[in-house]
Amino acid sequence: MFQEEAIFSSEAGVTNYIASLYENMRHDEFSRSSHSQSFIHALTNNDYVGDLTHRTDETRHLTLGNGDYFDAWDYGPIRRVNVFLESLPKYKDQNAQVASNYNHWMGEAYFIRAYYYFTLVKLYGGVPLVKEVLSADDVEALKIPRSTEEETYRFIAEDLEQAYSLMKPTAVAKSRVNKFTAAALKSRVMLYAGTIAKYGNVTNNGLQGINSSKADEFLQLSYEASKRVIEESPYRLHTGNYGAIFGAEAKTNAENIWIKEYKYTFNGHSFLTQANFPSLQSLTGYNVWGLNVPTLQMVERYEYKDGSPGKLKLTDESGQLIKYDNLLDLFTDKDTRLAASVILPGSTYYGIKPAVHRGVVLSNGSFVDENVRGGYDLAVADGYINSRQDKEKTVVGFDAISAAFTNRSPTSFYLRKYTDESIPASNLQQTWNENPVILLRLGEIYLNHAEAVLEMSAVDGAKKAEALALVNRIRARGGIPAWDNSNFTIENLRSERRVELAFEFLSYWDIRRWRTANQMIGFVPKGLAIYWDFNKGGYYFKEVNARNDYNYQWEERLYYNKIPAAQIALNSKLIQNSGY
Amino acid sequence: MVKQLRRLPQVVLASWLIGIMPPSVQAQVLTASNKIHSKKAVAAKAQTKSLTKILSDLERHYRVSFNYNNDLLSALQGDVSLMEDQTLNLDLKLKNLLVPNDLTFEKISPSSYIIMKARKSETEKEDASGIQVAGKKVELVVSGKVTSKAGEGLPGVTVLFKGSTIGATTGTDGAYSLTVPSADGTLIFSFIGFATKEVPIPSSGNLNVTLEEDAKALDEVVVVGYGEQKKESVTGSVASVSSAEITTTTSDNVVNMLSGKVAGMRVVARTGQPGVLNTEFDIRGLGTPLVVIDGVPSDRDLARMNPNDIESLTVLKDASAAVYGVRAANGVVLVTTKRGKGEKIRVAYDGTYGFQTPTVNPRLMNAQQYRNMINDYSRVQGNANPYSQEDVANAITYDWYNEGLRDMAPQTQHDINVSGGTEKLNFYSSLGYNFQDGFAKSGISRYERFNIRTNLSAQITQNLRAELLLSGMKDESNGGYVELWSLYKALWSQIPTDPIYINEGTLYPGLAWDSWHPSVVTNEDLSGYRKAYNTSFRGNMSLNYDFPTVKGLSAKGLYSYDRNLTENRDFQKKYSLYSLNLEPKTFATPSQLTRQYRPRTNSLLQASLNYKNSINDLHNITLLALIEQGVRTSDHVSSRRNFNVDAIDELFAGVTNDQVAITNADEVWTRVNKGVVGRVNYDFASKYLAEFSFRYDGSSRFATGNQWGFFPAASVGWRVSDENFWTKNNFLSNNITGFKLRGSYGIMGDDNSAGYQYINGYTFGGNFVQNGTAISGVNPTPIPNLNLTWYTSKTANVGFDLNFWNRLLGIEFDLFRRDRDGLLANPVRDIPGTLGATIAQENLNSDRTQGFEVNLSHLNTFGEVSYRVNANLSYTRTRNKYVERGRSVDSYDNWRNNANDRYNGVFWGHDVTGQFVSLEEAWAAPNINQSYSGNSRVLPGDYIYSDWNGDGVIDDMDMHPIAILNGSGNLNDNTTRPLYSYGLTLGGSWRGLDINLLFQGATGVWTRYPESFRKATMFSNSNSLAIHDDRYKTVNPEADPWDPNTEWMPGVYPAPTKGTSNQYSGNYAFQTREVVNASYLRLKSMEIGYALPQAWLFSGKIQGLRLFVNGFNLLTFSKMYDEVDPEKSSNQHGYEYPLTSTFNGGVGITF
Repeated sequence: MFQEEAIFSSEAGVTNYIASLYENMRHDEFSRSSHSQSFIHALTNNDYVGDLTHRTDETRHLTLGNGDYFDAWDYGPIRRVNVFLESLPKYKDQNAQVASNYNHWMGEAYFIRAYYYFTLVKLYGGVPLVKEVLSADDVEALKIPRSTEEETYRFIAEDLEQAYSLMKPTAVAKSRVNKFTAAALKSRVMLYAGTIAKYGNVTNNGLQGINSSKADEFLQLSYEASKRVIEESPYRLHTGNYGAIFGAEAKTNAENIWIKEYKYTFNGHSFLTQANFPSLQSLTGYNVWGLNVPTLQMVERYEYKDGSPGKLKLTDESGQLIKYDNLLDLFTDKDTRLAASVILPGSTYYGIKPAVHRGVVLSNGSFVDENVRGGYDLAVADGYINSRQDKEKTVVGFDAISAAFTNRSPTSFYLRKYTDESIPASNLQQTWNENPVILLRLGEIYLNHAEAVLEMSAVDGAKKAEALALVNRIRARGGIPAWDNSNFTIENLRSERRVELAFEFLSYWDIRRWRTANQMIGFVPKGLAIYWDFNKGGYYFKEVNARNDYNYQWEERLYYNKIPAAQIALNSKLIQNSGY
Repeated sequence: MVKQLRRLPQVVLASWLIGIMPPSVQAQVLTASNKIHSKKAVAAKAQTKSLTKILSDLERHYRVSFNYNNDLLSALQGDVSLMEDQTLNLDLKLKNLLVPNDLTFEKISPSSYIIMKARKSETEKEDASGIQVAGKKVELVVSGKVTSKAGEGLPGVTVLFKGSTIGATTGTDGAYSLTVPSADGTLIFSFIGFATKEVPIPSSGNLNVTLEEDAKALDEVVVVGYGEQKKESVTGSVASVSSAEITTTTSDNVVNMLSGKVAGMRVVARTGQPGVLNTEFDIRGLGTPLVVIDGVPSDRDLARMNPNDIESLTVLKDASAAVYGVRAANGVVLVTTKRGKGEKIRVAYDGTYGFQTPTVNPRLMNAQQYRNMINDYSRVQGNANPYSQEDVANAITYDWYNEGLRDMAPQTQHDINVSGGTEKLNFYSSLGYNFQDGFAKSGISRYERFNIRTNLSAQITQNLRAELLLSGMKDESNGGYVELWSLYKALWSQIPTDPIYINEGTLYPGLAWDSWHPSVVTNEDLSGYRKAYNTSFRGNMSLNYDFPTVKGLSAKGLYSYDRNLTENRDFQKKYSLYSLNLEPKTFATPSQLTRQYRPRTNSLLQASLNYKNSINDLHNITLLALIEQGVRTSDHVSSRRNFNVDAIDELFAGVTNDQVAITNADEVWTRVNKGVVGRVNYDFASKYLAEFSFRYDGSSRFATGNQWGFFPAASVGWRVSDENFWTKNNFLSNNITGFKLRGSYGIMGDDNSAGYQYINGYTFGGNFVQNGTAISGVNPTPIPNLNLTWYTSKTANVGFDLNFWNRLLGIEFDLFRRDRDGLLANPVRDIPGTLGATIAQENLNSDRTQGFEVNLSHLNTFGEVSYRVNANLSYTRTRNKYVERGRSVDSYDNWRNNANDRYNGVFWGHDVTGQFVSLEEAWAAPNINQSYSGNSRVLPGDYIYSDWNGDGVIDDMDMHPIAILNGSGNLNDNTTRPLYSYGLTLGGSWRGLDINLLFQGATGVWTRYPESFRKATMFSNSNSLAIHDDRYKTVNPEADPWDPNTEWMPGVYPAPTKGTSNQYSGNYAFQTREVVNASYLRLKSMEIGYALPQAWLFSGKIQGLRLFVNGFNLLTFSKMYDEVDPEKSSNQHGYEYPLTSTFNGGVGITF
């Protein structure tokens, strides 16, 4: 056990303390907890099909429940930041290393506190604002009422402004923040506040929602913050292979502003273990599962290079299934970001092609899969092998879902974003994944910039032109046509945002702030069932429901989570959110 | 001295010696010879006189002189009546005087005699010559040998001709010879520590006798905290077992050997895996007790001791433990090791060899049953049968279980010890060896241990005695790199139709369930290992000084040091399994080696003063004053490297990138305890007994000001049967030989879980990665609590001891209660989460544990048959008084979760009232929550849950208490432990034959059937236990189960369920079908031995030889037993390595 002085009067001690402030930040999707895996679906809306074992019944529980699901009502990290903010000044002048880094470190702490409050406000609306280290002795003083949602957002803005003014322009690593990271987060946070003000309702005396008259003000703050990043920071939009941003170059790519690094021996995650195809087991030596995988709808959101909508051509005009010679032929001329984000049927990963066919075509032309009565017998009679282990001639591919093997993709797609084949395959097992998660990157800031401009009540022509140019740079990266003013609508921009930021865990929050979640009611995730004509060569693709018992629900009150009942019992000044 | 006192029968102590001589003299007398004749001889007190007095009378009368060593005769008595017998001459008078005292004489001149100790040959010769004894014609010389059950000759056994004062004592080899006046009499054989035996004299005059050890008699003196006490004056609740009782069970773990033998001690075995010595035990359900070995608290050593080294084990169950103060709240177990004794060097060897088998192994489905099950499963999911009826019929079952595992494994134990010494120096040295193989065919699951010990005691001067106890232990256990329980899990899930090897031969092992191929993962060369090594050294030196100037005052100093090292070496080797097309799949990559070191030390310094005195034989006082300081340290280092080439299992052969070095901060500590102990024992005429003790204890784990605590205890006893009204009442005194009432009360503490929470600071925790390098995080510790201190435990006990008809029936009964206050808890009440910190634990919670124990014993002898019965029963249950918790959110939360003033271990669940017989019935039943409308996912055969609250929906609100989990007293401990535990020991002997049976049982214990037992196809297409073949099935194996017209055949278990299971779908709510009564009764151990007659042994070179067979867990009666062992059921979801039954043959030889 160390005493305060040992920690705060040396660079090493402060670094250790800051390390734990960072490590305790919640990036739910990549957390090691089993909970986070099961709620990927809800976090990302319909980008993914979530873990099979936790689907349906419990989906609604994510937001209902007792309000504790995210374990987010946790002021522990906030207290630790406050301890830092109050302790470090005492040792400012004792050590040259501390003195020379003092401002930057204080700035980091303000940034981290802002990030924690952003986590809270996203879930609950206005929350109690604790700005100093509280004493346990006076329980009454701990009963702090909630601030309004607007006050909460303003407090976060203040902290980020402090952070911006204190920090240096660069940090020692991409996993540490600098002044432009503060600006980038402010771009995101103020955009949330602005759109919530514009689309949400004010209830509970302002504890939930922001008066719509404040929308422009917040959008302007977001816009200014985005401009700072775009014009003043050293970050540059990556122009080469889109996949590199998330893969091998994640730690160095000039587009990435802030990332979280992992190392399997210390804090590895299991996100990819849950998102990979099981054939990889021959390399990992341990189970991997296709649980968090892209839906067909997500794949179809990617446009064709000629600008046409992304719907896949599975049937001809007469409704007959089209036969493709190669699996990848189906995806010809799609936005190049698709192949960089999704392991498409027929593509390779670590040199392995996932065996995703769910059935075969017999020599008599009939389709056979495990659901066809006597199907295996028919297929075996036709020369197929009734075994999943053998890729050469098997009826159901090793990586295809079946009644017996449910830990496979129900869509025939697997996730490629975040993968990096230079990482040893053995790290794709258990909680050994080392692939970094991108927390903030310039691409999002471009889109934030454009969204703020389009959402402002009075559209300024110059701003709009500036924004359109930025969005077109993003689109150009996918090889799809540039927009002009007529295409540059808020609906199109939102779709582009879904594509560009696919699987980056933002769309769930986007839908919440846009108040569009009700459009998802009844959503059924789709996938492809692939039939392989082994005798004649070629493949057929059928659109199928990835989940038959899917039951997507939404209610108005779910835009805010329930305040944990236990906390209300402890603090009579806490007011519950509407509808709970 | 004390050791010798222990061996005295109480009658002798009471009426013959006490009060005549100071204790030190008594001891010397007794050490020099075993010349106590019999109770009868002593009872004839009126006719006896001091032998020296008689001799001097004779000297005067016959004008002769006797030369003798005064020490030799000073304590002896002679029959005065002989002097008046005019029929005897001097020589005959002398003979009759001296022979009973094991003396003889030599006439060196007509008027001069030398009196000396008898040599056997001489006695025999003269007896045979027909000398008249007491004026009667000698009719017979009876001779023979007295041996123990183990076949050793017993020296010093008193042999008495019934109804007379004629007697003899056996020699060093157990042989005796006695001249008796009549051939139709009976001889009485008595010896301390053994049951007295009466045997009619055979006409041949040759009478060999085997004496049965008498457990009760051994308890005459019991070990108590910091000393020993006479059993009769013990006022606390104390139980002990002797070495002989412990070793009737053969096990690698001493704790297993205690099961059922001590009233109030619960022993729960959790696994039979070699080297995993994790059998739990507690006293009265109070939690883990303090174990004190030879006066030194030693937390970790008991399980690994050599059982043959244990002289006795005593359990302090009540306030008698309070002298151990802050660590005594859960009771104390005192272990005393053997010391050398006697003058002759004695070598003893004991060895056993035997076999273990699993107590029970569940049966698995064969290929046909498996495919039928998968077909059923698929149809329930709405799919077609994957297997045609022909596929089912033609399926081949591969025996994966027998590929890697066997059901019989050898074990062996050997112990050799040498003991003996001179008057001044005694020693006991032993070497023990224990080997246990496991059920892995490869032999990878094995355990090996060596124990070595030397106990030396030396009388340095008249008043100074030293004792040096040295012991060492080394063991090694191995298991495959895969934990064995997970191999069992994999084998139970293994698809039986998958081939074990691809192609012929064993070159290509097939892809196994969970990749754990039984013959690969148990092969050290292929997949690595998981080895654990323990080594310990312990030295314990003490000096004892008797102050010559103050009678009864002695001082003792003790220093002890022990060091224990636990080492782990876990080597994971990557291996390949093959798919049908021989494509290899590699597992367990990368190869890696992890090594861990955990050294621990424990030193203890102790000084004490003892005073013992008796005033007028009425006021007996014993005083103890003691100070002690203990320092314990712990350390931990762990490191790991990955391997490119895994041929050498040493860290240096690994690659340096990704290497890991860890020290677990929780395991690095130094703890200091200091204590001052005082104790007064007082008794008045051994009738009214009282004891008061205190301990002033300090612990480094608390803040200054809260480090010291005062722990007093008091107890009283009343030996009602010693009262005049009792002894004078013939009915009472003839029937009830002993009656004692006892009561005790004491305050104890426990600092065990506290841990320095008074310090405000920062600790390492978590790692943050920046630029590819991990940086350790530092976090503030919880808000400190300067007031933190130990919890206090107030223990009260009342009881009585009854003894009927001279031990024909003994009853001991105890009622106890322990109230704990100030149990540590995190203060959650009323502190809003906005504080953002945890607060250090406070002394908040309280609970009460109470129960009773009964112990019945019976000892008897019929002719050459002697037997004993000992039965014990104990009950314990803990009730929470105050439990710190957040405010109840609503009344349901309060009912369900508020543990205040409730018994702990309440198991909540649903009542199952039956099984649905049709879909219509299921649809009409109350809806099961979370199942889609109208119970559409419920099938015939599914359990019917009762709508307990009558709201028309089956959900959590219908759960109510359905069973009890009797935990250790900690709120969060849900391990099943019984409310009642009992034991029954039956022992008997006849001539050289002896038998010992131990039944042990538990009742009032429930457990939840673990996963594979309650659910078929636990893991999608996994195999299942064969019990699930008895399930609801459709009559037509291809029928749609969801069609209401489908016909069903009923079975014990439900059909497979649709979809994946949440709490309600698929019959897996907590409910009464799964929560089963785990009560059991087992024949825990049985031993049959035969001591070979002396005549068969080689001309006396071997003193005794005993052959025996014994077994462990031989018979079990339990509801659960067909598939799962009731003792281990809940561990690792039931996959834990099985408990074992063992069968051993053995030999004990004494030289």
